[in-house]
Amino acid sequence: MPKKPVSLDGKRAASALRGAGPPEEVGKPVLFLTPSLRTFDGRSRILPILTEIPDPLTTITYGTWISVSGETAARAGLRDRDEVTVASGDWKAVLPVKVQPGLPGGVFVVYRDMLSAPPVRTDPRTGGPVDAIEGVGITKTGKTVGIPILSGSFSQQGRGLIPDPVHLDEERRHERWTLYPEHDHKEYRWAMAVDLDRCNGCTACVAACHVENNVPVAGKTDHLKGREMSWLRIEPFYEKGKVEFLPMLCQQCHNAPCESVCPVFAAYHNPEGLNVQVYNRCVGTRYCSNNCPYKVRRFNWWQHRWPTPSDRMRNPDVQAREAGVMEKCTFCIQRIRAAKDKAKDEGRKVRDGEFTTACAQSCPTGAIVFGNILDKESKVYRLSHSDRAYRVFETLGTEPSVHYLRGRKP
Amino acid sequence: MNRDESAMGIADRYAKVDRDVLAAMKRPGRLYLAGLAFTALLVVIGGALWAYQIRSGLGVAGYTHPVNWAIYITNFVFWVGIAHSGTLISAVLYLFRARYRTSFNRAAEAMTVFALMVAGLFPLIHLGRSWVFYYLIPYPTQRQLWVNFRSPLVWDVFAVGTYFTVSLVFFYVGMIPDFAAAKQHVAGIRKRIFSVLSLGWKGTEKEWRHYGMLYLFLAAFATPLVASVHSVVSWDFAMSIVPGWHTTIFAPYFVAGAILSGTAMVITLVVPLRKAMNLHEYITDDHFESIAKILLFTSLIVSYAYIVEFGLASYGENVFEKEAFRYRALGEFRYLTWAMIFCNSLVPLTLFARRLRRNTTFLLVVSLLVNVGMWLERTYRPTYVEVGISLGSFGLFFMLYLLFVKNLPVLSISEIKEHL
Repeated sequence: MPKKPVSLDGKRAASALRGAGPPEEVGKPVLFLTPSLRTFDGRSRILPILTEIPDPLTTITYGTWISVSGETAARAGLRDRDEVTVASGDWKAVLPVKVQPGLPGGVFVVYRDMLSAPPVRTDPRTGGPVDAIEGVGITKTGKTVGIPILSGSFSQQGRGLIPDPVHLDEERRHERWTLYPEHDHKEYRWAMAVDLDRCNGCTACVAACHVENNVPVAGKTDHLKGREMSWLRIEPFYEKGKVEFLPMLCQQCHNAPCESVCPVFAAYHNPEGLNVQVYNRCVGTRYCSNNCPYKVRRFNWWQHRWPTPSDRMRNPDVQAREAGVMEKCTFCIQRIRAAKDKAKDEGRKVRDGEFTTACAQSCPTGAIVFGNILDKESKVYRLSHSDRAYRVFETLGTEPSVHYLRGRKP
Repeated sequence: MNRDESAMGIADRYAKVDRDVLAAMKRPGRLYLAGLAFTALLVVIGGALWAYQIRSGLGVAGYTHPVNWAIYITNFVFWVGIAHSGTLISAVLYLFRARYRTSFNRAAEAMTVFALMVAGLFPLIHLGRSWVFYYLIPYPTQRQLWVNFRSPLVWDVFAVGTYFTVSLVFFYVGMIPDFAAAKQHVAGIRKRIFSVLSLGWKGTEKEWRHYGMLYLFLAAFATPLVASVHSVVSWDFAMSIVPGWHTTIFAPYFVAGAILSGTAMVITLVVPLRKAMNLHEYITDDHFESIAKILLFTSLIVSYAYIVEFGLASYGENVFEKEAFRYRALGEFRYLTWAMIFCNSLVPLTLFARRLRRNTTFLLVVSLLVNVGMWLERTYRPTYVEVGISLGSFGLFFMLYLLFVKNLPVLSISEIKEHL
């Protein structure tokens, strides 16, 4: 095939997109049946692990729901988990409500895979275009239905998880002193850079992490209690009329609050800058999780099982955790070990980009970069020293090894 | 002491004290056995539920993410708190030469020991893997693994361990002369056990002098533990960076709270004890009035701590802290918070009235409310397993207490004689 050069006229594209936003309010109530990120039109429902991975816009895992805009919900007195009957003509469905920021008033959204007999024709090959049903009626049934909404808040609540770019400089440098000797990193200090401007919230990283690290499938009952097991989560924040996604994983802090409180050194700092969790030393006081400002530690409330055939999916390089121990993101330590072993056999140091973590590997936009920050030639070194870089809760002095990048200096 | 009795010779009066106190150790009544059976049943249920929890995983408790510490830690703090007032009454009041303590001290010391036994179970019940609890104890291992002395939980192990040892020794030493007195009034296996426990006590001048020195030393040793142990327990929270916990007021707040709940527990135990065992002569309304004053005083300290906590959060500019306290006062669990303030701060204010301080029924009601209030200090929705295990702990405590009142002298015979 002959190559054809294409180019994008940025200015014209921007002016064309500027007017393309959704309307504030629609006349008649309209229901959109959209493909879902996780199963498209429902064809991927055969992979039950996908239901364990939260939908990034709502952070719901299991079950069905209808997304209702904030204004419509306020007008109709609807709250999250209220059950409603959606009807159009002689078709109707009963679904719980999820109040969704960013939707124009009068617009309802249901993922197509949630309805067994949707009132529209679908193209079996592609799943069809987005279908809309105008003039739907919505009535409360009076019941509430438990749907696992994993996010505690769609707002940053003024906590500055994704700080305003103009404040980045103030956030960055805080004087700190300690009574304890500094950690000494000789050859490697593993770090990560996450470019939030590249992240589109697709959650492929979450799925990849689940599979790579034998993260147990907690199931609906536990999710309803807020006991998710995922080591990595995508936090959507709806602010100023737009959504931003923050992938949150163990920040592998340099001064980790989890390490100092563990009575048995199960949470310990390894020479390569990782907060290692020693599973067979852990007694399960859960003090580390209490003290983690990022809330990324996961406790094994049960002995999780992998019923056949899901046991074949298990990664043999990663230990399965027993009931009563804490676990969390390890920066894919098994991959680090494999890469170091290979480098040792070949009598050299691990090269930048030679391997990466499961989340970084699966990221379609290349938003996640992993590497050795002691190597000044590495990509992660360059990104973490960019003027766009910041770390979450810099004021706490935890000095995370995960650097987020966002915005540009004005 | 009425006129007839003061007319009696000193030997007769001593004999009467022996008789009265040891009468409590007679063959138990039906009510006592029913109470014992009931508390034993609670212990069995609690134990079975713990076994179920170990088998199934901590998921059967109501914990979730990020609520990692809940009812079991509440129980731990509550029971350690109860233990404190026992020491306060037995050791601190001894150092102050407060004579009214004589009527309470044995009951209070027993309470300390049993409450610590119950308290010590809860950190184990709370663990994800209870069966490896010994990792928390520093012992030499081949792998040279040591405990992390930076963790407040390790300080806890030491604090509570020391406290239990000292309390137990103090309790036992105080009873040595009483064992000697009691062995003359019982027969059979009991006599043999009491003989061994009395360590051959004869009551000579030299023995009393040594005894007095040891008792004073132990009292002086136990007194600072009241402040230090609960301060260390409070540091489990205060040393973390959780909003609402990370505050310097926690140590004095916990100590005052401990004495408040413990004093309430002493009243809760002694009011029925006095009635059931007919000890009105030895435990008088004056004694209760003095204890009620301690209750009132510590309640005022605790109320002050509540005000300071909310005050700091409201004028501080920390959004996390503000939200934590807003949630406490107005959130989902606001009823519990307000009930707690009612029980711990408002109800004890009635004790400013002297008439109410001397009314034991009223005191019992107040102290029960304070016990409830202190327990409500932590907010949470428990499952049946947690409720069962908590009830089991109360069962264990009261079962041990019932066994104590029938098997050991409930009042300090030697001290009562001293004051005759």
